[in-house]
Amino acid sequence: MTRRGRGAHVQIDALSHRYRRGSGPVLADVSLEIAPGSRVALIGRSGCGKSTLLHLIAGLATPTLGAIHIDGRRVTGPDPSRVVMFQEPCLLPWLTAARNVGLGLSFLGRREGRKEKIAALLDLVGLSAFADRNAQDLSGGQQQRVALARALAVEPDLLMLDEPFSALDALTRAALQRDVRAIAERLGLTLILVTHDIAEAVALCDRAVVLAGEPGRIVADLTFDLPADRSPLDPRFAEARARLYAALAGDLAPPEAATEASPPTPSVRPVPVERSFSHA
Amino acid sequence: MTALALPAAARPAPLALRRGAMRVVLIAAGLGVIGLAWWLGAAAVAANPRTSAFADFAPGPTFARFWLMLASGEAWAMTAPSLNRILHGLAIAIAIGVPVGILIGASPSVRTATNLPFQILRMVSPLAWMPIAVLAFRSWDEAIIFLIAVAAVWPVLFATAAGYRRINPAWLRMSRNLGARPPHLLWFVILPAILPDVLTGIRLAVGIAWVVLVPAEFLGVTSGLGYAINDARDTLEYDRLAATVLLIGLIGFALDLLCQEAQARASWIREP
Ligand SMILES: Nc1ncnc2c1ncn2[C@@H]1O[C@H](COP(=O)(O)OP(=O)(O)OP(=O)(O)O)[C@@H](O)[C@H]1O
Ligand SMILES: [Mg+2]
Repeated sequence: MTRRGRGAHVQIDALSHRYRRGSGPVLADVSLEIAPGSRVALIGRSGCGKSTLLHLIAGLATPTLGAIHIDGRRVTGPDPSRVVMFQEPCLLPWLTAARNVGLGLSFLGRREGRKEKIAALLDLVGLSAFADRNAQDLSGGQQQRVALARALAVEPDLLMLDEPFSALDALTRAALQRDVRAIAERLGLTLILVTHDIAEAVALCDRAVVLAGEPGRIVADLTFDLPADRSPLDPRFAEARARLYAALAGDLAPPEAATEASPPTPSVRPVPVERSFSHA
Repeated sequence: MTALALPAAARPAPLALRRGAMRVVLIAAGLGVIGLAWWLGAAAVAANPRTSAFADFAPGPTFARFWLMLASGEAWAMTAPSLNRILHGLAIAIAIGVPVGILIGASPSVRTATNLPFQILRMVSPLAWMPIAVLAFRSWDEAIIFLIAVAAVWPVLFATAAGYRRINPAWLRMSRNLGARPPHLLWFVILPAILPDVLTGIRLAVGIAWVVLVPAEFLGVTSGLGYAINDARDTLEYDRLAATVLLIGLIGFALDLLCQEAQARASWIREP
């Protein structure tokens, strides 16, 4: 709770994107506002454009149409204040784990406290014993954790995690989810999490945005009001999961069928927001 | 009491040891065959009255002269200028070959534009540039360094361009994401990524440059290994000539070992 208020304010306006002129659009008319310090899950089926959206927010590609503003400034290129942890860990294979973690610090020319910082981050992701090991000699899950530590090292205002824990076992995954949530909360940073895991979305985030279709559009936008500890035993946790599941199922089935299929409680139906379907 | 009590010598030697012994035997056999051929050739030359003047090519006089050259410092005195020229020529080849190779690797249009001229130039023997080099440079030394650089630049350039393909575009994207600017990309991603290939190119270049050096030193200069060969021929000291040939081979071999060692240390690529 020491450094609140560092989170980025993300505004996405009528964003459409195609990778090549003449090829079909990947994202169509996506508008989204993310409040500073909030944690948003981005969910949708494979290929609906989640990674693309993160790359656009990071400034690694320029949207074909529409604009992205962070804290009121238009995104025109990459910036270490908004960092994506990519779907692939993408470590530099000639460096050790520790040097991979310190990569962003090298770019920023931050030397003071560098060693301690790297050590603390490796400790956080449970890899202190692997600091001097070559990145190629780490398991897939260990590589993911190094990539997470590397992203955290540059202290971004906006952290985007693209299926960050996909290669981890359930226990390590749960521990890291807790840690990421704690870090995001402590630093007050804005978090966007792409995941296929409904429980993970509910455990880490306060809000879930569902993308669907080709091109991808926002089809549902849900908020969860859960206590901080997020105990999976809490009935509200189960209820939030059910709501998110129903929203996703709505993407699978025609809308009326989805309504039928959704659980009986009215509150678990997808929450349509003003933007959903409005451009369809 | 039976198997354990066997004396050590009766047990089969460990596999690694036997392999090592086999290696030593094979290496000795290879050297022995070459030495024998040399000795037989020299004996035939000595037996023939028309060629007996060249009898000093034989292993005996050659090694005697070789030790003498080493002991007197003559060997080092003729090698130092040659090494100096090689190093200068290689430095120029690397200074040109690596940046141009990166450009070719990074830009398809540069690749297309340079492909034809470079492929043609590459096939020209460096020695064909000799008359031009002599005209263009004031000193013989500069002309020789130019010839070595011309010979060495191509392997460095093509190996660098090929090494660029090893760069995963995701590494560059990830680095830009973390705040890397172009100089960072060059220093932290591109150069380390292509280093193993650049070293392969340099190793090839060293081999070619060493071969080109001797004929290049036939010209003008009064120092170096090539000059020593010519000089020994003119003074009819065939033991000195053969000893110099031996010296050239040994130093070339040592240079290649150095390159191999550098390659082994710098390579991050795992054999599958
Ligand atoms: N570099 C590219 N060039 C052309 N098309 C691309 C490129 N990258 C992705 N696509 C296409 O864009 C669409 C969205 O891809 P994206 O990677 O954003 O999906 P995703 O939602 O992250 O999927 P997943 O859950 O499988 O990671 C896909 O149809 C994909 O084929
Ligand atoms: Mg993806």
